[in-house]
Amino acid sequence: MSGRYDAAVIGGGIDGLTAVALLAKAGLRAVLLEGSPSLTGNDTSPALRALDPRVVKELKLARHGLKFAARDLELAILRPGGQPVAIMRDRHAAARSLASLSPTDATAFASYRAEMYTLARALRLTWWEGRPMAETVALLKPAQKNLLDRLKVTSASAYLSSWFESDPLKAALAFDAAACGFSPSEPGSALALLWSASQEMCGLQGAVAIPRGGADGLVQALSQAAKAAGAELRTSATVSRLTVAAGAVSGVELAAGERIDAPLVLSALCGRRTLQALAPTALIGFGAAQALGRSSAEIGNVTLVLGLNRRPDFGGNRIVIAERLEIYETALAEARLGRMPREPALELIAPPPEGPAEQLASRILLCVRVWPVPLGEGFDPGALARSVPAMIERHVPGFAVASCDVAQPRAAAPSVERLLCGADQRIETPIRGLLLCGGDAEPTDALSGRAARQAARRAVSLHRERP
Amino acid sequence: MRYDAAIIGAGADGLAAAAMLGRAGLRVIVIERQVQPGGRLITRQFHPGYYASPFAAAPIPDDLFHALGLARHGALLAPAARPVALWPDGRVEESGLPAQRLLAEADRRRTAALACARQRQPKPPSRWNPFATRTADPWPAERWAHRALTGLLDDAPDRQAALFAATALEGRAADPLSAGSALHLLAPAGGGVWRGGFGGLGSALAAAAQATGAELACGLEVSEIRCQKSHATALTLSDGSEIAARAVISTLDLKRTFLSLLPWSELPKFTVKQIGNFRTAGASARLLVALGAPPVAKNAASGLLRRPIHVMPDLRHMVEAHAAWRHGVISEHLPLTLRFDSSVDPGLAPIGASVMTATIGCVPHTLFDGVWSHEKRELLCARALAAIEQVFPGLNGAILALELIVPSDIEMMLGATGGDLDGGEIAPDQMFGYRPGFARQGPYTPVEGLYLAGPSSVAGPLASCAAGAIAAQAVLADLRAGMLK
Repeated sequence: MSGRYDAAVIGGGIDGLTAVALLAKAGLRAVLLEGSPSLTGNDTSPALRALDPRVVKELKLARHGLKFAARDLELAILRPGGQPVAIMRDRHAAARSLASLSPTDATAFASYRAEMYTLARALRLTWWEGRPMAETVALLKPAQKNLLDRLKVTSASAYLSSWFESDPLKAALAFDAAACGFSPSEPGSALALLWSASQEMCGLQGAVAIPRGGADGLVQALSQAAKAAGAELRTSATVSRLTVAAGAVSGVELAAGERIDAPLVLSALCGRRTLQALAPTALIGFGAAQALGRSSAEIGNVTLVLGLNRRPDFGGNRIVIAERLEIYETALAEARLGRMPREPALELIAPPPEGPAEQLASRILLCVRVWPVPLGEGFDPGALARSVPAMIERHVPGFAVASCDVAQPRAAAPSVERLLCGADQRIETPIRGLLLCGGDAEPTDALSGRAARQAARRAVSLHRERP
Repeated sequence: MRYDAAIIGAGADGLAAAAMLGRAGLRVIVIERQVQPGGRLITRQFHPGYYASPFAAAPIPDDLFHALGLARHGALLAPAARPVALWPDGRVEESGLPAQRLLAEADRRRTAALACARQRQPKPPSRWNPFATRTADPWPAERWAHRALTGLLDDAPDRQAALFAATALEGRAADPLSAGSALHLLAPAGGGVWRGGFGGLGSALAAAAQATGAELACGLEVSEIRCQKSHATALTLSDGSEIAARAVISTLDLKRTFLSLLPWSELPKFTVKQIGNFRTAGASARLLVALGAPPVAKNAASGLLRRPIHVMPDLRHMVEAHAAWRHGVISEHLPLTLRFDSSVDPGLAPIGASVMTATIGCVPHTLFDGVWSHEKRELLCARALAAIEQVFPGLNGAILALELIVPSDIEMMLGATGGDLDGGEIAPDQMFGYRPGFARQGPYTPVEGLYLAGPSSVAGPLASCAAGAIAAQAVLADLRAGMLK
């Protein structure tokens, strides 16, 4: 049995589904090949901070069942023994609550957000449209250009310290960089703060939203949209290798031996896996293949899902637990040495009470993102399941956990170059007809579906150019 | 009496600037707090017959060495020997070819950066438009700004990578695995051995400056830079006397110059904030040891003592030591570099004896539980000597005298904020065009007539004397353009 398609997409999840749906919508015969029995992908965190609004619009996801349980989870800072401090979107309200941390910071915060949000919006030309950075920079004002140049070499810690004096506030804001995979002390990680500020959820800049049904809710809506557009979705279809003819991709071969012909292949897997495991080395070039073998991330983040019997008062729905900026560095050093950090930085996402999480499990769920953790043999889920609830308990007295699930850690290998290049450089591969559309093709590791959209557009134009 | 230029600090930069300005026929005075000139370029007799230099300094660019005529004044350099790493089993690790190539590449990049810093002389503005903004061109991007030290040396065996990182980070605190640490390669510490130690170089520089007619006033402390209409006009000394000058060159670091010598009201608010945000990273301690006899390592090759020796470098220990430094703790595994200068210059120790300088990295300026007490110093000493004893068995028995200098001592002796000899943390946002980060690059400051030359200026960590030469050029250009009244 074999099939002929215009394009094949390897890997499910949000990226693969977005790509296949957009390809089908453009009139291509497209198939999605997912190795596991479900389409969910490996990200279990329900929080979305970067979903491309144009994907939502073009695929009419709202009509296919995408609803949001929360549109704007405000950030709250927890300190041991102190009242939680929530940072509201309204700047007067934010200033009022921040005044309890530091009056100077309360006045500085509005200017900080204004500076970040204005520059971040200007950079959407690169980060949303995928235009080369040089084009974007040409449109900036001189002052903005200077600021961007400075942010390229500044660490998030240094940049935040130049604005604020309160340790908990700096550490909480720095989690945005950690969420993108950067260490806040790394030069250039200030750009990750800017990238986070350029994102938009539900029409609100820099918001974090939760879809109804968590990550599954979005996947359901995307697969509905893909099916409606006429795409074929195949699960339990592991791709074993790419077939190549005359230097260009000609299709894929499944583990079961089945061949699928498609002149365009989009891969939502990471670039390394796509090129190293699936493609023949001869096509990539020996040097490039060696370079791929070397670049391995040692640090990642992991999501824990904690089941609670009672919802404690967190003072907000998105809580960052990190007391000082130094804890990021200490934890990173420990993770680099292959140990589980004693005190990692935590981000707690507590879905609002009316969320579906409770209807599903009749229990309250709390998602905890932990950064950093070592990958490889140093990763110890048992230690994490013990230490994380204990850490939260220190900040929220009486916190008790009924269950704890530790997901697979996700590798993060962000780079400043990837943040500063256009989409073409991220989605193209050395092999003709093979495009990347997964997390590796995004400027950072956050899920957005934007690389998938750009890769799909590129694939459609390649398809139209064909004789 | 009014001078053309008054220079604060008779260190390498101050003396170089004085020599260059003096040669141009200007009336120059150099004011130094210590009783002898040299700044960090000094050599002390710390035990009868034993001489050692308490501080390290970057090498001098060749062209400046010749332009200042230092050879004529008695400066003589034994070129730097390649560093080695030594382990307790007597194994000696030399840097391999990839590491040597990278070090040569670092030298090229450093020279290019210095050349760039020297060319960065903005045109003097026309007098009829003093409000014109004078911003320099952006600095060319440095690719190493986002690289980690270990990332530069791909596929190297662990010991090679550790030796390479130890060479780059000597006496500093940085995590060799994190991005941005590669910049430390551009700011070398150490270099070769000068005849008579760094003091030999210091006295040659002082002689060169005095030969051009520059006045050297030692033992005087500047307490304030006086300004009129945001124009530096005079220096007030701690005894109340005043020295008027058309231009002032400060070779102190950024924070010391602006936050303790200038009245804050003379500076725009955001400039004060910006200077406050400039980070220092004092992490270097020195142990001066007088030895009755040169030490012997297990089955070590001859000529070992003529080279800088890194004691058991290990990347994991460096990461741990950096984390400890961040938290103000004395690390268990101190990064140690040993130099036996008396085996290159026998005049530094009595015949048959040896003098050892140990540079210790990742030593915090202030400990988490307070200042450097006597017990803390003892602990640091004991840890360092225990590590040295492992590679040189029996060395502790030969110790006649030792002296420990921690970052807070460096702050006391040299006036370096935070005990940081580099004048500010070596990080991409504090180097090149962002050092010290004013709108006008180069030696210029927001105060007209005040020039910054010390370690916090662009060329400060790259080379000795270069920052002074750049400031001197700027003063000469501005005098010619009639900018200085």
